[in-house]
Amino acid sequence: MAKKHLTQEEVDQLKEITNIGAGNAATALSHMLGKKIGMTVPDSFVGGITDVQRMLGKTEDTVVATFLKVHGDLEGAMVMILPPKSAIDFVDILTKEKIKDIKELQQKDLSAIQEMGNILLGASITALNKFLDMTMIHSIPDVAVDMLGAVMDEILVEIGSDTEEILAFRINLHLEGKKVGGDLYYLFDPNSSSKILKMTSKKV
Amino acid sequence: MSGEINIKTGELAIDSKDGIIKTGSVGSCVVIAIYDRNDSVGGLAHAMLPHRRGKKEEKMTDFKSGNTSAKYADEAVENLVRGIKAKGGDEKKLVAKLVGGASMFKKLTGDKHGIGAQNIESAREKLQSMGIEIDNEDTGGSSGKIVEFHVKNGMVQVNTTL
Repeated sequence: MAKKHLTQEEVDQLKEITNIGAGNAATALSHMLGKKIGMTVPDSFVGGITDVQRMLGKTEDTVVATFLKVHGDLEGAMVMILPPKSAIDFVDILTKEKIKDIKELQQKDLSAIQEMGNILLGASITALNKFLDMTMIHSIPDVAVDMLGAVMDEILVEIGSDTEEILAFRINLHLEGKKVGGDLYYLFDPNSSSKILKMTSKKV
Repeated sequence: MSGEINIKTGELAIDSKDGIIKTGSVGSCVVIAIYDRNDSVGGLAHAMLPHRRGKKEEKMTDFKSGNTSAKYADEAVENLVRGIKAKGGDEKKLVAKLVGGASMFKKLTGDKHGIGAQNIESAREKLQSMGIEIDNEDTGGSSGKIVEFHVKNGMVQVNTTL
């Protein structure tokens, strides 16, 4: 059963999961780019799928979204959301290709971003598997360029259509001292919250 | 009433005359516009899911905003019609337009049985069962859309961001 009313301690425990997952992702990104990566404090949210949309912020902003589905002990999805400027900057760093506008992104540029997302989100899952002593596997990644709300809609419904509820975490990764970065979203079926809490309680 | 109303996912609004109802970032959701051709009364709904799954019906209290009476495509159609009738629209003169039902990630669902296609199907079925003709639609594909509905003449303007 979904736990709707979490105590502050439980919320903190769940957020710690995000730090562990994103910490590993940040390390992977740092190795990949040879740059220092900063991380923000994570947000978390448990609630109805229409309410999770309100956590997103400016839903009509165009973003580059890389997404993969998560199966196994926890069911859900992970998403990397890059604002257009950051997507262009990452393409520049990864492929040495200068692009002025997001409309100029070609399939090979999107593939580079998708692969970056695959590495970051995959690293997150590896860290969570290890910490939670669980087995989760992920699908191949997919990438879309569109409005934030439009891309997240479909993902939220895909995970939450049975219960219409979602357990969501968000954390921002960025090149230290620069405005180049993006948000990672870890989205789980709400039943996952009790499973995560059970495992984290054993650890502390 | 005239002016602009913005609705979010799961919401609907009814307006008349010069009213404009807008909704943004429509991906796999379906946006349903229904209006009375003669009396300048109409409504717009932004539905996220095709059907309710065995839960009790919530009572609709507010047509303006913050309600979730349009979360499900089939109920959204019913609630739109109810709201339009309450504002003086004639049930027999209603026509509909549909937008959305896209598949943003091809690898996630494919084109056929994705949630977008199910949303469209659900709205179509309900409209048909209520005898409401679908005048026009811009559905499917893989682009997010912004929708603006002009109640006065039933015009639906669809924009994409890219």
